[in-house]
Order: sequence, then C-alpha cells, then structure tokens
Amino acid sequence: MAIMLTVNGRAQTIDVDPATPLLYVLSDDLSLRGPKFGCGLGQCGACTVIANGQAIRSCVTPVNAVANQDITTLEGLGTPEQPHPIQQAFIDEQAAQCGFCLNGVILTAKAFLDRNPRATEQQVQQALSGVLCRCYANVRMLRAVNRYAKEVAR
Amino acid sequence: MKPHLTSDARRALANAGFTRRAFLQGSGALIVTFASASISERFGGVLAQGINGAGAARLDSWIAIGSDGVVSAYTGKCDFGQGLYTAQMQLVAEELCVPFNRVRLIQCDTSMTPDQGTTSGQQSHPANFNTTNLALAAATARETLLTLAAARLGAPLATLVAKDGVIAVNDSGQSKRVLYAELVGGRKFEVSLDSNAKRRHPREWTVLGTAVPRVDMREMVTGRFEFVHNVKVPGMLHGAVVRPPSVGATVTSVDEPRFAICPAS
Repeated sequence: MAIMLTVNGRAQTIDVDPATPLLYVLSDDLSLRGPKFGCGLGQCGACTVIANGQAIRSCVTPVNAVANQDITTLEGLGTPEQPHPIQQAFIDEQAAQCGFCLNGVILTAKAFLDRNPRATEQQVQQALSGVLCRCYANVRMLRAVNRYAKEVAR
Repeated sequence: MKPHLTSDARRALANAGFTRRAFLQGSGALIVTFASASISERFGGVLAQGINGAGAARLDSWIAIGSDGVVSAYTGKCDFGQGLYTAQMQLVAEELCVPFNRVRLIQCDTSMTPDQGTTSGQQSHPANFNTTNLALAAATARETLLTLAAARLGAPLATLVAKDGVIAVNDSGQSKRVLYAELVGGRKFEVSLDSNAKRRHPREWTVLGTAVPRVDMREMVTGRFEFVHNVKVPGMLHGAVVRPPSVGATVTSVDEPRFAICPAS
C-alpha cells in the first residue's frame, strides 16, 4: 500500500505493509541513520523522531499512523558542516560516548524545548527521563541541553 | 580482486588521498610491518581469526608515511564509544611528532588492517599504547626517519630533534633541517617493527594527555555516523547477528535457498 510521508522536508511515497514500523521504513527504505533500533519496544528512545512537532518512538509506530505527517529525524536538524544549535551544543560539551542514544536525547530535548522554551533545568531533566543512555554520559548530555536551552531562552 | 571495504574505511582512504593498493605499489612511502617470524609470538591466541583476510596482498602494516608527509595508521582495535579512534590518532601523532590533523587512521577493516582479535575488556590500551603494536610501529617509524635524517644532514643522531614532521639539528636554528616528506621522497622503505624502538617520554608529550575533541562527534550528533548495523557491503541483502545456541558452537551449514527469497535492496 502506498503511504505518503514528508521526511526532513522531502515528500516520500513508500509502498509497504501499513503496519510496518516507521523505524523500518526510515532505516531500510530511506537509508536514514539517525533513528536507531534499540529495544524495539518503545522503552529506550533510540528510535525517536519528531512527527508534527511531537517526539514519538518510531519502532512502535505503524507507518500508516503518521501518513501525510511531517517527520524530522536527527539528520534533518543539521549537517556535519552546519549542525543545528542543539547539535553544536552536544559537540561543544563532547556529550556522548558511543552515541547510540544521542538521536533520542537530542530530538526529545528539541521537541520539548520547542514547546517549553523557558523550561527549568529540572523540567528538562524530567523530560529526558525516558531516554536511556547506558554509557552514563547523561550528565554531559544534560549540560549540552541546558546550554542550548539558555540560547533558546535568550 | 577489489577488497570489500566498509564505507568507513573507504572514506578514510579517500580522505588520505590514496587507495591502499596505490600506497603499497605507489611512488614513495615508509611502511612499518610485522616481522613475519614474530607474528604468532605477538598475537598468540587471537591468530585464530587469521592474519590474512580476503583480498589484500599484505595485511600486516601498521604505519605508512607517504611522500606527502601524511601518516596513515592501521589498527585492529576499534572505537565503539570509548574514544579510541581519536586516542589512537593522538598516539600516532605523538610518537611520530606530527600534528594531529596529519594522521589518518583506518580501523578494523579485516581486508586492510592488522587483525588484533576482539576489542573488549579494556585491552586496547595495553595492546596498542604500551611498547607493542601500534605504539611500537609509530616509534619505529620515528626512529627510522631520524636515522635517515642523520645520514642526510650529516649529523649525529643524538643532536636531532623531530617536531611537526620536521627533523632538525638541535641548536642549528632550523638551518639544518629536513621534512619527513623529503626523507621518504619517491622511495619505498619497508621496515619491521623494532622491539627496541623507544616511546617518547610522557614529559615530552604534546598531543597525548591533552583534551582533543572526538573526531567522530560531529557525525554522531547529526545522524551520519556509521554504526555496525549501518554497514552495507557490496551484494549484501541483509545482515544480522546470529548467536549460537551454546558456547563455542560453530556454523556447520547454511540453508542458502531459504534466503534466496530476500529482495535485493
């Protein structure tokens, strides 16, 4: 079945089973590397994408549930040459070890701060509590998000 | 036969401006390799995976310095988040006395790099950073260049100082100096790992022990980084890790017709 999506600003028509997880479409059909397969159960956040402004877990989202929506993945924010300010904050703070969870952390923080530009550090921490990093790089990541949050609030 | 390289390795080679084949056959280079007699001694058990993988004629070189002065290093110890890629570049830059950005590191592509077995259990630093393997290769290369420079400049070895890819006679005010690139020139040197090559003393370090930003961070935060599950080799339909049902089990057969139904991507 043909499903229309807009991914990182580009209209895409995908011919797949409508129950296919969005993550599989993004990874296998569109060859995107931002969203990651972590737990496959919507629990870790590695597969996060932003759909119509909302951070969602693409591994448990059937592709037809986001038909005709605007999807942003990590590569849609910025490029290595011109990273988005939130990505630059992560570079400045060297906020990763293996980097597998970065996608979920950055996109969850971005979607949250877009809606709550004056969030406190505690609220940021709360918003990120469901995104898991098993390298324990969380402290640096929070530092990076708060650095970006300060820029947004200014 | 063209070796099957991961895109990571292809990119590293492209950045370095040459292919490995061109490097080994090319106009000028200084290449540090294993002494073949000591391979098993050095690697012991990890030789099980075989030192000679598919494709390439030689897989045992650690360091190569091109006639342009660019240093290429090959490592079998892999970065998966511990920052080892950047740290190994620091190691090579330090031991060879070249700026960090003149080092190209090709990691863990079994068609190109030494097979150092698994990367696990905090073993990469003991393996590559002490007085063996990658550290020793870089130290061997530096000492070889110093010896070449002594002959070229007609000065005793003890009076020479290597810095930023240049060897100069100490106290000559840089009037007697020679670039690594000039020493390598159009010639090809192949030297074996010298177990007596000396590491630089920590007191002399300018690159190791400093905070160098991770070279992979930019690609990671922008979703461009190639994780293992992104690797696609030519002709590949699908890749997955298959774990054996018991410890030490090996594959006896593969039911290939069952996979023939996989659509090519």
